[in-house]
Amino acid sequence: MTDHPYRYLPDHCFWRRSVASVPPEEVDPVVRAAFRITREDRIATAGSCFAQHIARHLQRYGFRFLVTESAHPLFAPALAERFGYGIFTARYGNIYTSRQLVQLLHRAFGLFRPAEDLWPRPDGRLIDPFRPEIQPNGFASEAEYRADREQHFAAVRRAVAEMDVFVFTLGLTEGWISRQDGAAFPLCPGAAGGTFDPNRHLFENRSVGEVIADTEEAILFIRERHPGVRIVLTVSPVPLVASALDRSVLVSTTYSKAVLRVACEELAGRLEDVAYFPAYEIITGPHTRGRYYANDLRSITEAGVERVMQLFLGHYAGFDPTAGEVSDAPSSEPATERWTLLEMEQVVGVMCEEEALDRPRMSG
Amino acid sequence: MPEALERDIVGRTDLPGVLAVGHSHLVSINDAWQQAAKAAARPGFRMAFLQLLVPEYQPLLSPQGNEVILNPRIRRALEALIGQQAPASIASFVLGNEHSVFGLVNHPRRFDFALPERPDLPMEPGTEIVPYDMMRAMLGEAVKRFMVPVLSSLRRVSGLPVRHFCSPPPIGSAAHIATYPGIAAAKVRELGVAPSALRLKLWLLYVGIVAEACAEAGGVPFVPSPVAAQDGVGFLDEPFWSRTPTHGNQRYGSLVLAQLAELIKAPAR
Repeated sequence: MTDHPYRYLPDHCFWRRSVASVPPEEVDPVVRAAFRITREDRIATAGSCFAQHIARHLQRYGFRFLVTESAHPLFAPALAERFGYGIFTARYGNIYTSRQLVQLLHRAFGLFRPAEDLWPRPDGRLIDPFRPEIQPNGFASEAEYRADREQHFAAVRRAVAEMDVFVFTLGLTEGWISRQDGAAFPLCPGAAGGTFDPNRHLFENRSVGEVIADTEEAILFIRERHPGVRIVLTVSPVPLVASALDRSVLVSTTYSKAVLRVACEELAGRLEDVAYFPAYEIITGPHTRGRYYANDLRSITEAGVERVMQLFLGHYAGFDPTAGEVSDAPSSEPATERWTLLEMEQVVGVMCEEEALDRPRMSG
Repeated sequence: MPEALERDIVGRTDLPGVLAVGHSHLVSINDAWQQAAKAAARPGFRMAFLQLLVPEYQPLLSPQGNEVILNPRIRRALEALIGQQAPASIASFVLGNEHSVFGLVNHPRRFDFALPERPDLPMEPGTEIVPYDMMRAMLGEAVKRFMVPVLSSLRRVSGLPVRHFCSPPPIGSAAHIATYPGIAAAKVRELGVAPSALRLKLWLLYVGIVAEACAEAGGVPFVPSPVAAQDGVGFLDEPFWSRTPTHGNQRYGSLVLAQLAELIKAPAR
């Protein structure tokens, strides 16, 4: 037998040894972390819906999930979540494409102002074209909309300034843009606000070169303002809900995911401290036999998310979530803010009692 | 019968009787009623008062299975008064200050919101802007979980028509609140009085929620705060301020009695 390079490769390079003959729940395609993450690192997240899970688990395991746009402590967590708080670092909602990420950064830093930036509804409510589902019924007034958006942009700027690690999950290549200025919408106009107009709205399917260029621009933009930020890129394993192209959504899904996967590979190979984390492979690999997909064959099961986070935290943080090391996420609110309402309830209660008891006898 | 109960309904028994039930905002009404008695100028109805802000009536609601019911001591007092005085209707002044919990003094994390129907009311520069819908949902939950069962219980227990009277608008003057802070003195010193526009927006939001609560309580008629007591912006006008941060005075109560007199001419549901 002649010598050849494969003879000296480790097990993870071989399908049979690392995939086919390993129990599915033990398949580990990560192999090694590109860098380390500590519990002191402030981790920002953005991306498609799969990225929501990452944020949730980081909090659950006591890592410093960076939130620069938190709900006011007046509001209960469930209500806050319905209004898009705490799901990502700032209240930007899902960012499906690389183009949206660059655009958000440019808008937050005042470098781009889309011409089409407000969608009025017939009932007078207002939809943010770039966060169309951030509030269940849109915004109640233009004053609120404008003020909230400025606040949001400030939170994005703070995120750039404060993040140590940025986890970005790329989700789609298909999207809709404005013909006027190229502004990228997260959802097709008309789907969750606005009105679709073929004279104003254009479909695009980003190429691998475009995704690489967008994502690189975003990374460099962040690092210009905050050198040293480490980047983790992932590809969402969630298939397209629909394709705008006249072909099978399955074919469009494989195109999108392939483009995104190649883009991550290019960027991780070219840029320092940019890692690709194989969440996509963990969920979609043949070893899973589809077990990490829910009945709709799109949603990822909790077991799938757990496995992704187990491998992510294990490799990048040396932390084993299965070892029972669950800790409550530290609250971002000082105790004084949480107690104020309770105190004020008592104060107002007593204030009213004083008013009433000042007249002990009420007579006719 | 508890000491704080109205002793009796004074006046001609051929006049319709009203049983006024409530918390702190009932005081100005009672003061006005007393003043009218001294002046021999009572309107054409009899009145009795049931003040709920006394220790024996706490808590206001009690759990019973999956429901909340009126404190049984309040129920018994109501039944006793109705049996004795035979009022024709109930005037509710219950609760009424929930909005002050959120906006009498500045929150440590200062906030503001835009009220769509009053774009003239400014948002405080430099504060955190919270969504109107969240404010409405939060305040709505805080108000309705008490207001709806209390009003429903008043209808059910009394078997009488019930009207609910809105609490007065906020006092615009921060200086007045700082002068008469009462129990809130420490909080006023520590955090400062909240901006007047925020306090008015919270009250206006509250008013809409209470009107909804009245409807949800089986269609209790909602009586707005008298416009004559408001200044041009919507705050409680100075002649109607009490020496407290949030209550109307006897003159305010007189305006409400006048409202009540008008309403009695048209029977409540």
